[in-house]
This record gives sequence, C-alpha cells and structure tokens, in this order.
Amino acid sequence: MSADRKHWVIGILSGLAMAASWYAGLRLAPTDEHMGDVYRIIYVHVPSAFTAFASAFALLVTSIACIRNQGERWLDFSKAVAEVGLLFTVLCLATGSIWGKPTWGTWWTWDARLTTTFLLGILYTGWLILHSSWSPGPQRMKICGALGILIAADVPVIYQSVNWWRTLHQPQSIVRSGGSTMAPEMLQTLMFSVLAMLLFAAWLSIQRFLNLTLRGQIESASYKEMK
Amino acid sequence: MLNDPAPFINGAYGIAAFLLLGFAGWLVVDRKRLRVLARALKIGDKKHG
Repeated sequence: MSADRKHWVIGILSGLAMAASWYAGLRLAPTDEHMGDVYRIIYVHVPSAFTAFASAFALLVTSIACIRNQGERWLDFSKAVAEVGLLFTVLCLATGSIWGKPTWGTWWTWDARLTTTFLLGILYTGWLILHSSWSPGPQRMKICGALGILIAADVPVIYQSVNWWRTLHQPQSIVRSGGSTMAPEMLQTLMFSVLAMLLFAAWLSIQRFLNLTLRGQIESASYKEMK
Repeated sequence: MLNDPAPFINGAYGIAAFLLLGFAGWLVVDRKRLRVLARALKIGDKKHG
C-alpha cells in the first residue's frame, strides 16, 4: 500500500470515529431535562472549541521552534495548524450561534466568551494573511512565531472569560474543580466526541503539512529547472 | 423547551459535515495534483499517488 493510501485509510477511520461520536450524541445520549434535544449540538460545538484550542497549543509549540529558527518546516507546520485552527474556530462559532438562537433567543451577542472566541478566529486569519504577505526568510519565521504565541495566549482568556466577566454563556461545566456537572452518560459521549474530533483534526493538520512540504519541493525543483 | 429542535440540530451538524468533509476532500484532491506535478519533475517516491 502506498504512503498516501495509508494516510487515506487513517483519515477514513478517524472520520468514521467522528461520525460514530455524532451518532452517539444524536441517538444514544439521554435528552437534557431543561433544554430538551437541542442540547445535542453540544456534541459538535464543544469538540470544535476544544480542537480550536488544541490547534492554538500546537501553534504555540511550532511558533517557539520558528522563533528559535529551527527550519522552514516548522513554519509549514504552523501554517497547517493555523488553517485547521481557523476551520474549527469557524465551526465553533457557527454551531454556537445556531445553539444560541433557541436557547438565548439571539444568533449573536457581544458576550465575553463569544467575543474572545471571535478574536481567536480573527487572529488565526491575521496569522495566515501575515504568512502569505511576508517574503520567506528568518524575519517571517520570527514575526509569525510571535503572532502564534499571541494566538495561544488568547485561549486561557477564552477559557476564563465566563469567570472574569458577566456573560450569557453558561459557566464551565466540563473541566472544572469539583468535577463535571454533566450526567455521566452525557459526559462519556462528549469525551468520545472530543477525542474523535481531535484525532480527525490531527489527521487534517498532518495532511496539510505534507501537502505544503510537497508543494515546497515542487517549487524548488521547478526553480532549479528554470535556472 | 423548544417545540421543534430538528432544524437547529440539522443545521449545526450539516455545517460541521460540510466544512470538515470539504476541507478533507480539498486536501485529497490537492495531494493528487501535487503528486502528478512531483512525478513530472521526478521528485520523491514513485510508489505514491
């Protein structure tokens, strides 16, 4: 089996794990006493938020490597995780907005949790614009590295926003001191959904990194041929 | 409690499936295109593709 085929098989398996977690969330998890069935959006909304945060953490690691000038491949990996991070931030905002309408009565409000998450999306977009507009070289590595660290710094602010400010968003109910406030069946399904989405996001990031590496090889080979 | 939550649930999961499958599909198509270019320039392992 070729290397690409192996990657596709892993991708299909992680996609199937995510589909199974969605099925569990939609069909097997119990109905919420207060919100009814609309709460089932949690099984796509919360995993996408966790994945956007995990991408920011991965960006922090690759950004430190960029600042220490450990090679262009770290910048390629930063780009891959920034794209995936943006994808999951958009998904988190979109699903949160859809959930907000029936529960809060509005699609959007400039609440602290929503605003700081929106800022995360803006920062990921800014990183990608900066990367594409700056010429390759050590300066781009350092500038992108610095912005990558700033993006990661937004994650604890998002996480604590429900404690620091008055918000419409519900307080922390999953990762909190004193244990989760969720029913065990709901929590197990949610943890499965988070793990499956993280696995799928890792697969997406690796594939994007491999594509960027291959693109770089093609560009340098075409440049040599032109010479 | 909401009378009919189905449109909201379907919307959320539909957007998720569209975004994630769309991005994954684009990665697969891009890889295939890059492998064709790489083969033309004789880069890397010919087993790939």
